[in-house]
Amino acid sequence: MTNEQMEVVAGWLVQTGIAMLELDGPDGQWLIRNDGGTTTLTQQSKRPALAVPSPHAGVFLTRHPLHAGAFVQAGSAVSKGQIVGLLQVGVLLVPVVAPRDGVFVNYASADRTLVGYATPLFEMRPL
Amino acid sequence: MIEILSSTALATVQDLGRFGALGWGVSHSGAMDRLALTAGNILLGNDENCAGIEIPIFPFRVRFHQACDLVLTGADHLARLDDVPVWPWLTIHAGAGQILTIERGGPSRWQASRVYLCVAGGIDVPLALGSRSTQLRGQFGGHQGRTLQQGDRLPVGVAAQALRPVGMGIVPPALTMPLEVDATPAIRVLRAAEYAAFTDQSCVEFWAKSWKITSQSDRYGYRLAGPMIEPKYPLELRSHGIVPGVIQVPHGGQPIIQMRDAQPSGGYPKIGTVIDADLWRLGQAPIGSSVRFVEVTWAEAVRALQDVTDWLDEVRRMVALGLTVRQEAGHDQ
Amino acid sequence: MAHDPVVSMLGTTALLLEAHGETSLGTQQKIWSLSGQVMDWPEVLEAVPGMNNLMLCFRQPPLDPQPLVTRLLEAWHTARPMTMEGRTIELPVIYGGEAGPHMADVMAHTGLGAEEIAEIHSAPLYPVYALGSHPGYCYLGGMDHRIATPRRKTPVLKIPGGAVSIGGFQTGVSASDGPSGWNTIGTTSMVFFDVSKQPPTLLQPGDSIRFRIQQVVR
Repeated sequence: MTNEQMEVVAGWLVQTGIAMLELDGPDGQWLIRNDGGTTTLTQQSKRPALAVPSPHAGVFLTRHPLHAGAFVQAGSAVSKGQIVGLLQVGVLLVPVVAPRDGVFVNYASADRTLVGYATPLFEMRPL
Repeated sequence: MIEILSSTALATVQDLGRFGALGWGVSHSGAMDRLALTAGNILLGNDENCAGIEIPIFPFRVRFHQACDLVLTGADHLARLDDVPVWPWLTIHAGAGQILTIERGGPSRWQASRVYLCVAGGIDVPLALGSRSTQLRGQFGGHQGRTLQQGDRLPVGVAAQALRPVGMGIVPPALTMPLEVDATPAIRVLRAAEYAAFTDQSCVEFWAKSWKITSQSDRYGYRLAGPMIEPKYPLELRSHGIVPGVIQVPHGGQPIIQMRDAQPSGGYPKIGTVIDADLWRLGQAPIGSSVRFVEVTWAEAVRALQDVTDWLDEVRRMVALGLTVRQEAGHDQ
Repeated sequence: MAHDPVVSMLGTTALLLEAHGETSLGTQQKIWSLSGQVMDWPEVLEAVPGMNNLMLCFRQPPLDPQPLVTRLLEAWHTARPMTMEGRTIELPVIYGGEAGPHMADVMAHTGLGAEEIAEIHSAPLYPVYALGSHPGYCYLGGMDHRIATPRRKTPVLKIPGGAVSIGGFQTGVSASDGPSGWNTIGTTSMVFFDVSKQPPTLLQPGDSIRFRIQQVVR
C-alpha cells in the first residue's frame, strides 16, 4: 500500500470516527490508529511463518501425479482446507491441506521425497 | 438428485455391465474403463457395481440438489466445484446447490478420453435386466435408455458412509501399470480363430505398425486406420457370439475392435482379441490417437488379468487402511 | 466318429465352439442341448448359442483351458438333439425400393430379379436358431443359398428396425435401429423386444418366422 493510499484511508477513519484499522497483506500487517484528529501508522513485522508438519509417513507430492505443475505457487493465497500437496502411501493419496487461511510461502519438502511423521511439508503465513 | 446442466451429448449412466442376457441379444454394456469406475466406488465406500456417469465430451456441467461426496476418476480434466478446483482421482464434498464443471484438460501424463463422475450412493436409476447400465441399442437401462440431456435429473442412492469434508485418492492405474511400445500406448492381444487365414504380410504388419483410432469410434466399436489386413481367401462365417475386445476385419481390410456396447454376435473374420485386462486402457484411448498391438500367450493374458485383480485388491486394502489412519490422526475436519 | 468341433478363444473372456458341416437344424438342436448343459457348469457365466456354434463366457478364465475344452467336446459328442416345438409368427414384408436399399446389390450378386428374390426369400418357414446381434434379434436357419450375398465391405452405420436383410447364407430382421454389415432387401414391422416382459424377447430359439410378400417395389 502506498503512502498516498494510506493517507486516504486515514482520512476516512477521521471522518467516520473509527478508532483503529488493521490491514493484513502478504508482506505483513498495517495498523492505522485514529487518535482524535491525528492518525498514526505502524507497520507490524511479518507474522512468523507456520511450518505444517506431516500427519504421517509417506511420499510427499507437491503436484498431482497426472500434472506437471505444483498445487500452489509461492506467494499465492490459500484457504483453510485447500489441497497443497499429497502424501502417497502405495496406491493411496492422502491430501495435505492448509490448516488455516493464509499465504503459501514455500514447500519445505521436495516433490517425491519420503517423509516421516511431523516432517515439515510446507510453510504458510496465516492471516 | 443431480441435474444435468450442459447440453453435451454422449454421457451415459454405467455400472460394470449387464450379464446373463447375451442370449436375448443384449450386450454387456458397462463402463468403458471399469477400473476407473470401480476405484471411484471403492473411494466413496460404495458397492463396487454402483452406477456412475461416463463423460466422453466436454464441457460437462451438473448441479447437486443434495449434498454428497463425489470423485472424478478416469481421464485427467479441468474441473471445479463452483470456484474450487476438483482434482482427478481425489474425493471431494459437494454441498447442495453447488455446480460441478468439467472441461477438457491440458497436457497430462495420461492422455485419456473418459471421465467418470462417481457419487456416494451411486446413480440410483432403476435396474433393467439386473444392471443400471445404459443399453443404447435397446433403449433401456441407465436414464431412459439414452444419453443424458440438459435438464435430466438423476436420483442419488443412499451413501454407505458419513460425509467426509476432504477425502482421499488413488494413483491412476495408467501410472501404476503403464504399457507402451516405442512410446506408443500398447494393448495386449491374443490371436483369434481366423488369424491364420490372413496373409503373412498382414499378420506381420498387424503387430508391427501403429493403428489410429478413427473418428468413427464410440462405445460400440473402434474403427482403426492402418495397413490393409487381407485374408488369403474370402471368408464368410456363420454368426457367432463375440465379446468386447474382439478385433474383426471386414472386407474393407481395416479392423474394428468391439467395445462395451458392441453387438453380442457377429460374422466378420477375427484376427485377434484384446485381452480383458487391457480393455480399460483401450476404452480410454482418445479418438485420433494411435495404439500398438502386442501379442501375448494365454498364460500371459491370464497373468495380466491377475495383475488387474491384484491392483483392485490393493486399492481396497489401502483405502480401508487410509480411513483408519486418518481417523487416528484426527485428519478429518 | 464325427469331426470334432473347432474350439477357439475369444481373449480371456470366452471360448467359441463351432460345429462342422453345412448349417443344419439337427446340428442346432445339439447346440441347444449343449448350451443347456454347460449353463450349469461353475466356470460358465453365460452360454450363448449362435448359428451352429456356442460361445461360453468364463466367470474366471481357467489357468489352463485344455481340461475345459476336453470336457466340452465330450459333452458335445454325447449331447442329444433337443427338439423345441415353438410357435410361428408371420411378417408381411415390403421388398425393394426405399424399404430395401441394398436389393440392387443382392440382384447384382445373385443375377436374380427383385420378384424372384422376394419369392425365394418368402418361401421357407425359418426356424429361429438363436438370438443375438441386438436385443430381440433372431438368427434364422433355412435360407435358400441362391440368394446368399456376402456381408457388406464396410458396415452401414444405421439401418432401421424392421429391416429384413441378408448376410452371407443367413437372413434376419432388425429389431431396432443400429449398425449392420448386412444387405437390407425389405422392411416389416413388429416389436421383438420389451424389457418389461419376462422373457423380454418376442421369439425364442425353436420358434419360427414366415415372411409374406406385401409388396415388391421395383
